[in-house]
Amino acid sequence: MADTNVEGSGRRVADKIAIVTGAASPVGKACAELFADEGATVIATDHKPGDARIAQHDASSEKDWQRVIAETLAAHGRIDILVQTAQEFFLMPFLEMSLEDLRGVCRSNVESAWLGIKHTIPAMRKTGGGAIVNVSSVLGNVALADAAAYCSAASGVRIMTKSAALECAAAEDNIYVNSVQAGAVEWALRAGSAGGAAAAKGSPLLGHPAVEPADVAAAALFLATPDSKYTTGMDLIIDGGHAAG
Amino acid sequence: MGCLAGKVAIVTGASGGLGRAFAMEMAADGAKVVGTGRNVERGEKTVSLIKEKGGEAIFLPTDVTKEAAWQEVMDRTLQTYGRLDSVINNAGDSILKPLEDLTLDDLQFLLQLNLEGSFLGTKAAMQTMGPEGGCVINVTVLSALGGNLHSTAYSAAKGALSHFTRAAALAGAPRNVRVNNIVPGVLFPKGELPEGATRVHGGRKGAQIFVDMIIAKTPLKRIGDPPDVGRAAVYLCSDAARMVTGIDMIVDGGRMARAP
Repeated sequence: MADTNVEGSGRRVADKIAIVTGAASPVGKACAELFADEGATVIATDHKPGDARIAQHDASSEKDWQRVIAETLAAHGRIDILVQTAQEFFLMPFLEMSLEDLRGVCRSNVESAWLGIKHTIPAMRKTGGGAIVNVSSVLGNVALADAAAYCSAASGVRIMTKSAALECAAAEDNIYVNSVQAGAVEWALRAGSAGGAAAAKGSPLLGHPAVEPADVAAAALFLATPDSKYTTGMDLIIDGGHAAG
Repeated sequence: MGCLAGKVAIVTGASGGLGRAFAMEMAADGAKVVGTGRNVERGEKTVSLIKEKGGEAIFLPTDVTKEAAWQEVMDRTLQTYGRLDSVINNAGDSILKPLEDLTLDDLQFLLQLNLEGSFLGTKAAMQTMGPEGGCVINVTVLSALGGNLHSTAYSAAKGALSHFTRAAALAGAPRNVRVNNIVPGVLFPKGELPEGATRVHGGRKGAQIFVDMIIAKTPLKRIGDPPDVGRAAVYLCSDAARMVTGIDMIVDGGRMARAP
């Protein structure tokens, strides 16, 4: 397998059919572009496409998932890779949050990831397997003030990933499920609260002030190729060392 | 061409199965490799396997538990290849005995080889790597993350190493030196029982019982292949992983998803 996995070879996911959600946002866009550069046919989706090449898809809607899966199978016959980046970043002090705020965050982050897994596994099982990569946040590993809802959601996606991985392994269906826990990516800067400023203040690594979307995409690619064929149920932290300290 | 073209990597324990896999995968992606170890014949074999595939490597017989030996390795690496980008602290060993049979000597031996060797290697790496920094990988094990009643002393040594990595990641950050753990599950080259396993588990029958137990505990229902761990090292040492530091990179067939 190693000889087809030279980075930059343009062939690391050659001939694979990959769905990438959240493709209108920086991380999803970076994933879609990298996977396409490495030879995949990418079905890029988002709830606010803004671009004719991105398909309309509310990842928290079961109907939309059924439609996207059916359309992908009709056009391409298979799904090999699912990269889920669709999510909503949300910061608010605990006592200012409403129950509706919490439910909204769970819907955009946990329910979306859950629906993606649920509706993609049956398709992957029909064609011999695949790789699911859930792009979550390092705030699912370590907490931040003003981020209780988001931390709960990110943590939920992280551990759900592991459960799904165990079920797939038990079914011997050749489906690998892993997550990427990304830290301080630029969209955190948009939140504007004190917690957001703390999240965005940078990593311990000199010269690299923030995790870039391209870093997350590279990790997702690693987890979607045979380079990681003995890794399932892992959460890969990319955060410049925040969680280590 | 590969993602490590132009980079230079030290791999300790390059005479053994896992060390050879690290060295060969790094070389396959373009790194020049300095292998170290105690068995010269097997170390030179690693070098010749790399050269057969068009790569570059040398082997330096070294005792990684000696500070002076690390200085020598660093000097030879810079003399031969002019730079240093990665150090994979793979040299290590285990002693599997029930707690009541383990001695203080056993514990101290394991600490010396697994912790001290990697401590010295990490420190030497930080002193030798240039302004672009680099990547140190410490090879730990599942029992560093969760207790294992068959290897309390080994768990202690690898657990200490595992946590050292996290602190070292913070220490290395100002110099752009990333430090990560790779956590492999049980690996046998091509699924064969290596002689080491037979020795450690008291013969072929004991080793087979061990293998069956591991497979039963592994979600992917197979023993790992050393090149899989090598590919994880290639990713971590590449620029794609420039923001990855202080983590546990797990290559274990899914065991850590529930418990080791």
